[in-house]
Amino acid sequence: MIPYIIRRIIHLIPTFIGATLLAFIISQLVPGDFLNSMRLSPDVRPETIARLEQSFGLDKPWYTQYFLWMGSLLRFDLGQSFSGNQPVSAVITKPIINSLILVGISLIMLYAVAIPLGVFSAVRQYSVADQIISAVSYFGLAIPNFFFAQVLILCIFLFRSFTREYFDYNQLILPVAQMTSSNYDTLTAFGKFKDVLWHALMPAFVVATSGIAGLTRILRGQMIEQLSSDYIRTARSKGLDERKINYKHALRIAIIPFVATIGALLPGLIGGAGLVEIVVSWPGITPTLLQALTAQDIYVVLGFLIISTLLLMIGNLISDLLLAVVDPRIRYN
Amino acid sequence: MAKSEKLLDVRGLKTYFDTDEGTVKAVDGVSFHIDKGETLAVVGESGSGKSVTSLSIMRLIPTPPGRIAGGEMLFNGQDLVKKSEREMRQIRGNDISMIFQEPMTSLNPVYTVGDQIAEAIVLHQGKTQKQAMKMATEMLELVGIPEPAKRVKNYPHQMSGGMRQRVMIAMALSCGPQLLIADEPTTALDVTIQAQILELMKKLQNEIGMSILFITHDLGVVAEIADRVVVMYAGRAVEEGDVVPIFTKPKMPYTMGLLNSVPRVDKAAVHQERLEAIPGNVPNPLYLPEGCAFHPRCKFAIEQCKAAIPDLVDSGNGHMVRCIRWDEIQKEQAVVA
Repeated sequence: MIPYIIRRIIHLIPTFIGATLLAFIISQLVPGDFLNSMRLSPDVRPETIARLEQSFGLDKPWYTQYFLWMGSLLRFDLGQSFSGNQPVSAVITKPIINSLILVGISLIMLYAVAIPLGVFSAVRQYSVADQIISAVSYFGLAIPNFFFAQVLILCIFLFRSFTREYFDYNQLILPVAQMTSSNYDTLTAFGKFKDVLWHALMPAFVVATSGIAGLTRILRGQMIEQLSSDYIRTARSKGLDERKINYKHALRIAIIPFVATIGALLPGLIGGAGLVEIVVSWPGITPTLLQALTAQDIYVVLGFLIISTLLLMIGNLISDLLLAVVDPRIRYN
Repeated sequence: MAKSEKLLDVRGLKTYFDTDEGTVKAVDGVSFHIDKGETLAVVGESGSGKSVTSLSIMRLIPTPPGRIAGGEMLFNGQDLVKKSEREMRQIRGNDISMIFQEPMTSLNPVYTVGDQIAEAIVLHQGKTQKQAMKMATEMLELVGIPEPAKRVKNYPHQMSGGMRQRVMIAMALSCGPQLLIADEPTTALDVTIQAQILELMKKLQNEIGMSILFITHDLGVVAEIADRVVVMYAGRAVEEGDVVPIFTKPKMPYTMGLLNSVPRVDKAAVHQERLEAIPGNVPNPLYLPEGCAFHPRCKFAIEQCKAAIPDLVDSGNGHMVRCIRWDEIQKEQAVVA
């Protein structure tokens, strides 16, 4: 096992270099650079632009820029952001943590809901409950996240109109935007934690929906397949009860493919919640990344890419190792 | 051991499957009994209902679509059909246990064989996991697995098919059952391994004193292990009796056909004849022929065979046969010989 891990880590090095090169070339394919808007403005003198080009290194050919950037990467420095005039790491850390909170909560929701639902659907195959779960699942798979978020926001407002009308309660039951309340700074540490959690509830659920729907469907299929297998018949003939048969024997095997994909979730964790973050004004990765992209602030974009790439590679390694833990048939030698 | 004491008495068992195309009568009024310490073989082609019979006894028919539509199964005088699921769970693996045809897939691949044997012991005998693992090791030794202390920690994929079937037997016998149902336990194994497994089952039967219900389509295996035989066709018993009379003087044309389709050292050498196959196929269980289900394939069939399902009649010495012409056929056969 240990030599296997070492071998895998050595393999990661060329993969990582290849990934950075590819990412850098793609970032260079976009015409123009960060200074475009200045060049077009009559107010900015050409000397200023030349000076900025020089300080950002934009006057050098792209491969020189790449090697300079790689050089700084080796010193664990992600480079400078053009627009903020500060290190990339300072720009991206906060959004990454914010997205991590949102996606982390949604992942917990994902597994906490999808696993019992999938098992239930499989055990009661073709029952009314199973068919309702299936129908709702298709809905969850089909609806785009950003739209679903807007629908939920609308629902929350409609609910307020309803409670105002009949119960004289003029508050939103859940916050619909931002990550913190306006009085956040005055709260205690625990109060801050609760406040963020409270704000994350709705967007995290939105982010989890398609995952819940997908996982429930796949787990149902896996479970049905396992439940009709010979070793389940053996377990029944031993006199085990259904709960043991479902969870100890069938789920234990049905879950293997999901364990294998846990590692792939790692980059997804910081990949952010996509457009949902924009809809609910969550100060996560997506808004920052979009801003950096439109401004052609390439080192910020590349900074996000590097972190995702690293996490993807580590995640894949973790997946493979976990697989060997949950499935004794797999051994790495 | 009193030979006449009935351990299991199945009377008129009916197991039906409700499908979209109609009700499949997989087992339609089957009766037989197993005495204590006896081995009963149930023989038939694929689809004759023999496996469904064995699963019915365990009450492991998937419901729906399957259901036990009638009959009773008296096990030590208690009707298994009337037992609740909870009561059945206490019987399964404890009083009645089962081994299956597919040793390669019948064990859970992610648990060690020791864990899987110990599971039943913990469940039925209230032992601790540690005691149960010790007993599991002893069981592995009993079924002739070398280095049991090491093997008990193996996963199924680390064992051969024959080994896994031994593990299945160890698991089935771990709680000292009174009845072992063996559903084609040797079909998926090499011939040499088959012989070893049969040998082992006979040896353990003598040691433990259990009864065996042996489901098979392999007549060679029947001759090897059985005391009595029930021949099934299209969900019904068509002939039943002690093993020697069935093999030497079969009375139902279907049994004769089965025996003629098997190579025999004594016969072939003398007569140099080709093996005889039974013409046609097993009927579709949804559309069974009128009357005797075997008549379309039977060379002795007459018009009367289509009229009604023949009764299972005693042709003497408890040799039961379901054929209206068994008497005539026997005389014809005697003339030919």
